[in-house]
Amino acid sequence: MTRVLVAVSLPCHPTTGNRFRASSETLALAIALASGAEVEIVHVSTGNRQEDLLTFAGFGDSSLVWIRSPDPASALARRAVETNVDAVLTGTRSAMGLGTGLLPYVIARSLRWPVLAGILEATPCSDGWRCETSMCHGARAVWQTEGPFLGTVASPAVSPGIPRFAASRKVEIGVVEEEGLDLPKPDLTDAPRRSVALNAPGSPDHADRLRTILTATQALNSGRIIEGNPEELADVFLQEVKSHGLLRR
Amino acid sequence: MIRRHDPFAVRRARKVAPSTDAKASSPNLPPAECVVAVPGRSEQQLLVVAKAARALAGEERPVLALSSHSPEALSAHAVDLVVREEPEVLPAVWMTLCPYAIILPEDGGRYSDLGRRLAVDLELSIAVHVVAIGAGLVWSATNLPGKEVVAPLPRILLVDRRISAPAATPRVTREAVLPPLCNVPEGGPRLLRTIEPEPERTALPNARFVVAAGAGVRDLGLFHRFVNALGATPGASRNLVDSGQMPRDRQIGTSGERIAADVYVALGISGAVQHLEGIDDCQCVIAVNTDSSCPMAARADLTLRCDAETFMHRVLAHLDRRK
Repeated sequence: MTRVLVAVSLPCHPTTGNRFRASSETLALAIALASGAEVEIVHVSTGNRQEDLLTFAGFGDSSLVWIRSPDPASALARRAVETNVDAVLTGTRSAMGLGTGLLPYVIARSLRWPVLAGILEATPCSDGWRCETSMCHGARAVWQTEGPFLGTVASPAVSPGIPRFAASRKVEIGVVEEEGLDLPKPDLTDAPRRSVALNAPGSPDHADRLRTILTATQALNSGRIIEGNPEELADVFLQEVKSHGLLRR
Repeated sequence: MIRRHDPFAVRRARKVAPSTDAKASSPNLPPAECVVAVPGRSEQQLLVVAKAARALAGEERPVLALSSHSPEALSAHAVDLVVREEPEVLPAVWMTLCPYAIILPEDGGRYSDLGRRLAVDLELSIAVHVVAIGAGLVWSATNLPGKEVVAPLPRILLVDRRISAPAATPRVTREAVLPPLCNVPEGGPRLLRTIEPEPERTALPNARFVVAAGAGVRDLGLFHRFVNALGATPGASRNLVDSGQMPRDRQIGTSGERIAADVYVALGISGAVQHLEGIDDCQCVIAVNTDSSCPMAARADLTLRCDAETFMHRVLAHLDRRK
């Protein structure tokens, strides 16, 4: 049976508690499950809150492994070797290192595996994996890899149709403590519902952004407005689109 | 030579010694202390990368672009040298020229991947989501709104589209040639084939040409014929999505998708602020509306004042005549 490890990060910031959409990780999970492989969800952190991880439990799998370690790259690489997985899938911008997006590349380097970026589909076949990745403007590339690989998933590139949300449900969390670390015990009880602060204090909120757009819109007004019969307007339109090199013929 | 569109060239290139024979013999070779800029394909990426490159290079270092843009276009952005090569030759360029720094756009796709791959495989320092450069430091945006990280100047910079840098004075751009870089042995994943974009299947944030319908469009069959004839990706305002006439993943705006198309056509969309936020990154906006005083017309680069459905019929007739 082919095995895939999906590395997920907390969908909220560990310090401020700001929630953000970990959509690329949930998509990585959806792609792994669609491949028909046996999936293991792994999260690495030193935190002690578990409720946010439940986001990843709604896709049909009911267990995840929480490795408590300050070094996600080494811990994930070690886990991939220990469990003898055939592929690792992850998002592109984890919470680690303020979201530099380097984690997948560091893991792949320590495993000496190739990285396939922008995975849309991964299918195990008799001679390894066949993967579809996204290129610019909706084009796609098909790759054949014989050995194991590490794939990153970028949420904007994924075609519509892959589920991005699912209801949370009860999940069994297996905690793996790294030796030699003195971390506070994890809290695995269900946390009470609480209000969620969507923005850090002082950061721009939705109203601020709308005000900026209104101001910019009022300041613009520099476009051309053309009236006339629809025949002429159609001609102007096609000329404009053609000037951007977009018309097929 | 390195194969085109081969991201695995980075790993393989480091195993091969660079060729330096041609370096001493050709006069068109770029100097070693240059700043290498990879301006991407769009005008916005060119502007962003060229601004960052000139801010970093100052007056004393030349800027070398790996680009398919014309020398005239690059000249306006103060680029000194241009080489007609794909960015996948970067690892070999690094090993041959050892430039001062390499600058790529943070596009969340090909260039973001290439920059990170290069940094990890060649063990080079990197700064991502760079929003400012100056005094030997770079400022990077983080996941936290309004918070930035300051770091010493790295070797690879992935620049954010929000980067702030002064406009540079235009200069003459010359064509340069690279020496034979290195031989790349086979291995790693094989590229079997590439698939052309299918506009209907393309995710909205990835689409280059988006045509969206709003409340002013009642005949959606006509709208889809119009979109197919143009080879565009369909989108919709919230109005049509909420009424169940278009799928949720086609909604543009705050509660839908943010798009960054080269051309965005709004058919019968008046332009609620939430919708305008979703099209903030579009380069050219064309509005078709009977009301030329609506917010969308204020945002648009070109407003055509007429009924959206009549307009679509006329354009389809034009396209049929051209066949």
